[in-house]
Amino acid sequence: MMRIMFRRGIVWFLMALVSMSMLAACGSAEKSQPKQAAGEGSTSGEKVIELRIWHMEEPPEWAARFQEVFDAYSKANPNVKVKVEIQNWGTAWEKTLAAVQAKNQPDLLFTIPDFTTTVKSTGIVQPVDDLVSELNQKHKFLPSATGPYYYEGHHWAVPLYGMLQVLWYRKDFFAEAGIVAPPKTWEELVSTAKALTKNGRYGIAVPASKTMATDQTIYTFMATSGAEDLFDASGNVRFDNPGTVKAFELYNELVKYSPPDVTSWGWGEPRDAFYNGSVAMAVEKGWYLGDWEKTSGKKPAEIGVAPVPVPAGGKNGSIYIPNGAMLLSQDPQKQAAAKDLIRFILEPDNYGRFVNASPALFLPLTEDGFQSKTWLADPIIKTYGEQMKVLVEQSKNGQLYGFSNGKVFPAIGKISAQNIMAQAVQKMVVEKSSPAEAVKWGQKAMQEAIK
Amino acid sequence: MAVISTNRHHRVHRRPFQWFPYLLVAPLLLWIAGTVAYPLLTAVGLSFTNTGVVGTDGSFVGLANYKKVLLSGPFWASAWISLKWVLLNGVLQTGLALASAVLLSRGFRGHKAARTWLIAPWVIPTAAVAVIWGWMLSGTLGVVNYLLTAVHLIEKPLNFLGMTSTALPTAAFINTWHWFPFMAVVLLAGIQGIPAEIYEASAVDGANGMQQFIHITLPSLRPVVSAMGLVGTLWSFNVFDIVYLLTKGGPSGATRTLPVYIYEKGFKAFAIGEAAAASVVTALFLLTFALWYLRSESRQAPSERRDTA
Repeated sequence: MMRIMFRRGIVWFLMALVSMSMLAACGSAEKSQPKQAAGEGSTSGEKVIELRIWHMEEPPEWAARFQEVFDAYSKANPNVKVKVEIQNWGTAWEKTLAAVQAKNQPDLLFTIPDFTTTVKSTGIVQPVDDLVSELNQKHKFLPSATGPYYYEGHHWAVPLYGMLQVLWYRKDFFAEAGIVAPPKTWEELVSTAKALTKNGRYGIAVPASKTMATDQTIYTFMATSGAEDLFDASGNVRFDNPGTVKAFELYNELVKYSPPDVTSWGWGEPRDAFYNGSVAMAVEKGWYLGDWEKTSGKKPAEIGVAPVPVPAGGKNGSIYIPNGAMLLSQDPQKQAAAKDLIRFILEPDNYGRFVNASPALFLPLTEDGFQSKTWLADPIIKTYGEQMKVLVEQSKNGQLYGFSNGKVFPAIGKISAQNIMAQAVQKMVVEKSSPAEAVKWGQKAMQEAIK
Repeated sequence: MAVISTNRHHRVHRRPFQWFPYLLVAPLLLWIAGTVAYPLLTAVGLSFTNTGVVGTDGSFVGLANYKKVLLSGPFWASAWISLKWVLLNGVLQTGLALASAVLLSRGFRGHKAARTWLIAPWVIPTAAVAVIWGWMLSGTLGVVNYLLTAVHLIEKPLNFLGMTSTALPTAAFINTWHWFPFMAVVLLAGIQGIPAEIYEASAVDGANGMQQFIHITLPSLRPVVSAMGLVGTLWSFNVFDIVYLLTKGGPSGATRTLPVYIYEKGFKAFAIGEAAAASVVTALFLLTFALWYLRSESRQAPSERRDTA
């Protein structure tokens, strides 16, 4: 009898424990939901507003430098606490949409133009016309910065920093091979890559994985061959055109002089291969400067940068991506705090420090930002003055898929979320389709995606 | 206890309703209702709508999504890839696990340490497994290609995860490496449950090691292998993480199994209604397979009892 009672007692205890655990889990889930109203907690009795920010700049040193600016803001504004949650571009689309559905979206979400079109479709993005207008008057945004975020009569994000792609090359390998100048044309690019592919080293690294890295690199070449407009004036897909086919033909050639596993490479692998001497050239963004000396062991003067080579009859160009911040919160106090934070970030002294989270990768988007003492004082910006001139000059010629030549096509979100351009590249590189067939496939896939 | 009949010769005592067992399972049932039943019913509901981006509203479209899915070339292509994936994993994992279990059941020197180290791949988180193997198989810096070229087995590095011909078998191998220890541990327990006297008696009768394995070990392990066959097949079929982390369904769709297809349809192509329909169809396939498997196992079981009697 005693044994039975003891057993029952144990069972009751375990049941109570399980039930309490479930209740606690529900309770903590409620607590983790962002409170729409400001919370309690400031020692001075003032309500503390918690601003949740999502950004996709994962490298710890970049995130740390962003955090310095956020902390400076919180120090100047003790009633606002900035809480940062770092995401990655590989899962940003689905995580954000899931968060919106769960009503657990961040208050401020860093973005790129095609991502904005997708998030906007949920109805959660708040227009920021007043703020953009105010900041434009004060700091003068580059037109290429605000354009991609303006459609349906509103600004849907505030531009924060720009990125573009250029040709990086190893001057030491060029000198070894007797090549005196970087290639300027596509023909020179292919012959240079061929000449530098020997003794276990590859001439170039162009990604061919199903990732944004491949999308951006193939588009970089499309931007120089007159194929930068993915849509015609009526919004129909025009991916299949002679300029795109030419760009794919070039890419097919370049892959022959790239390492065999480029079909699995994104952004990081080509850079690592460039640093460790496995490849002599790469088409990528300004972050190649940041760790060059430390990782490659070479001097600053030994890294070369040049405009992206152009085809015969082509034009100077590249992909240019203005990154911004979307306001998602519907709470007036949080909206006010978020706008105030953005104003703080764009003050030249703060802006220079913010943009130098990744010097040379993140470029200013305002006229006074380019003159900012803190931006210019960064050791990387100072050390790589010649390389920076090329980057700044090239940023004037940038285009972005779905937002080219001053036009905005919000349907691009459905295309870029599926990395259809990258898939078309894979059709060519992996399945050995011809460039024309791969482009045709891409055209059909894009039309299907935006139906 | 209540007395139902007052007949002096025959009293039926019906026990009062026992609420205690139901109270015990109630928390678990609530948990299952919240984490399984609710999402399942929501998914079925979504499958009848044209909801695009998750969280947005859609309209009722009847069976249109099911028609799209069943007539979709990519869906069937992914189903075929999933079948190959399951077969590859089944063969590799069963073979490796059985060989490991048989080896470990022998008392060789260091077998206890070997048993401990066997589970090492199993305890490594899947994300870490994907990163480790991704680097090991790298064409430029990977140790696998380095060793293969050093011993002249290959002339130049291979892109194991980047070629359509090798990506799926490579991913299956990595998944096997990660999960076979679990199966090995289960099979080892099964082997250790076989009475030693049966082996001794067979040795007296002149049976060699192979004969003992075929006529004693394998038949004795049949119930365990049979259970693992069903569970393992369902688990393998639903594997998403290692495939997506290694290849994202590439290169060029070569490893786009049904879970990857459904994920991409829902969260990349923003067609959550269609993705839900695909997942319902897939669940029905698996349910049909499970029922068929259980039925054929239960048909075989009575004849086995006659054989061993």
